[in-house]
Amino acid sequence: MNGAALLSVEGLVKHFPVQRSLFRLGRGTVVRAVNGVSFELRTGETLALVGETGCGKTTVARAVAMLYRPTTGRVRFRGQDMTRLRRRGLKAARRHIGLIFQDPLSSLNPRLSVARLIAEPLAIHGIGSSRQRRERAFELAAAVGIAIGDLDRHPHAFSGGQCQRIAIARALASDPALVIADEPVSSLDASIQSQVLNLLIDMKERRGLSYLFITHDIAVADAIADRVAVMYAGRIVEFGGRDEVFHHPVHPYTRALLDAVPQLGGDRGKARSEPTEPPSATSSPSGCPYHPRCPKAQALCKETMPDLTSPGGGGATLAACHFPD
Amino acid sequence: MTSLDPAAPTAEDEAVGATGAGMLLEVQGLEVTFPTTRGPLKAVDGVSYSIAAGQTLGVVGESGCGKSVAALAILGLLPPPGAVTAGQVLFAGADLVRLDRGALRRLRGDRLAMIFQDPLSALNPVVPIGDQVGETLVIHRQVAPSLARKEAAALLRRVGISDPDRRITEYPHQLSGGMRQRAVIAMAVACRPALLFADEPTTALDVTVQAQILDLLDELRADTGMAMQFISHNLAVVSRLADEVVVMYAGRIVERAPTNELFRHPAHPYTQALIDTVPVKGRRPLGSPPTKLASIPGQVADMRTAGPGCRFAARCPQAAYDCRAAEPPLREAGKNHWVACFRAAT
Repeated sequence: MNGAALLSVEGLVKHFPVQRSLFRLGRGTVVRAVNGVSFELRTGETLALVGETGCGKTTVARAVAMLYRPTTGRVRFRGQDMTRLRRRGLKAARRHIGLIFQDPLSSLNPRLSVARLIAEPLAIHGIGSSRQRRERAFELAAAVGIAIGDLDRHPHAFSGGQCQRIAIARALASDPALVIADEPVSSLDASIQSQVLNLLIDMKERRGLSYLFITHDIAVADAIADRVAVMYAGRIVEFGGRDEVFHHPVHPYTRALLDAVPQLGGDRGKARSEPTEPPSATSSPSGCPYHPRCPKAQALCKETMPDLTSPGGGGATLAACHFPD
Repeated sequence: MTSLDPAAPTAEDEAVGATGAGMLLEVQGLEVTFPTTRGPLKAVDGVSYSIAAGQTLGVVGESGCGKSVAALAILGLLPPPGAVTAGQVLFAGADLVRLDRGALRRLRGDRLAMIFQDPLSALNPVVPIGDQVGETLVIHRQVAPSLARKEAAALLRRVGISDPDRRITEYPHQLSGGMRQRAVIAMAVACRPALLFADEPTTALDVTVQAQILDLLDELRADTGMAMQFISHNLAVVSRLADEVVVMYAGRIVERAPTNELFRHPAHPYTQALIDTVPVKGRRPLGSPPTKLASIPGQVADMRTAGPGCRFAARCPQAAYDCRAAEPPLREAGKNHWVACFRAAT
């Protein structure tokens, strides 16, 4: 995992202190959202960060863009340590990061016209004259499939899918090297999902982008990713190429996650699901956080947290498991 | 049987088991209208189907296709100003559309039960779980509250909640999302309903929890012999539970078929496109870079301004002149397989 690393995250930890509750019950507890995550994202690749609610995938994405300051750990982006940057340095670095969120309507200011929304990142970074910015907005709108005639309308006049196109145009306005997309198609209908995924694939090819793609949807990750990181309880439990992770998983959690995905047609009366509960973010068990749900758990798993290493050595896939498949 | 909707062709009546033999629920020509500032919106436009006892009918479609509104109309839970403007819903010999509020209320929670997407909003945050689950029995079976609480513990155990004696004293916020949905299911099945409406019951849940809830619903259906109308935007989820699937588009049924038949031989261009366009794990070949997915161009037309023809015509690769001129009736495309399309092979 070396060579052209655009982004490298090392030992990222993010803990959130729990607000003191009305009755002071929550005092002193900490939500351990991310517990030591390391990965590299290569130039031109799509890395999918997958996992279930509360696994820390969104926190990682936000920490990469410094929307959250990591508790500890380093985020190197284009050779700079983002965690050391302050105000102006951070603003300059963020020009090269585009952000796309799940709910396009709430991520677009309802009072701005679409042309202004798309050009706003350019205005913030002081790029071009206002006339040049408007021209750039036209060009981006055309690229994402928004009619030029609609550019003076406001977000509420557009459907969810169109709003997500606008959000994509806006994310690409400052010509970023990295786009962080957090569940970009999860709020969209099936027929619109594939349109937006296709647009993302198209933009990546044409503009040489790299994506950090966060999703809970295995099928979406399977369609778009070059490499995949599976997260569980604030840690990466499996990391590797999309073919390996999704088709030859080695971590028991990855396997359980893949088995739970319903398939189209013909799996009525499928094998029984595991009757276990997801982990709690405030109290994690000793050892491997997955051991209470794991069918292969042994005494060692309850005591020692496994490192993310290559099972058997030499392989491209990394897994954090004492007894990988 | 006479059709209440004069536009409904006779083939459609036959399609939906209008013979009526052994049908638990029969929906005929259901039409639900919402008045809007830009004219009346028919959210459900002449929908007919039926469910046999013990059967699971899956209803799929995208946002706004009318799948949820149809279920709410059947249960008498339509949010005003929405109203049923035509059709009838026969259940246990009564027309639910014409039933008075009291009679309908006695049916709901008893013979007819429902669960929705968000379990937290279905539960009262300040009442212990046990009291909420037992309440159904207190209301419909006149069981004493103390006994109802005991019964609630048994019901929670039945839906896979461990340590139910402790859980009945807890409040909704103390339960995980999956457990809350289990509690709602326990409440729904307390009176052994004949028919359970499940509207996106797993959409807010993680996949591993979703698999558990789907298993539970199927198990309860098999044990109690209840029928189920399972509504979801997710084709794969529906295919896991349903015996038969209805596909809705813009307020109308476009296709209905047994589950395996529908996924193996989808006849309507919309169903075909939907199946092709949904991201499915493993569709992209191993070793290939991310490649574009099949997609349906455009978006759903505004039902208020739609022309007389097929609602899907504007997005349909096979649409011809006749598709825009008249609404295609449901016709037989195979055994128990019905499709509303002029182009579909029959």
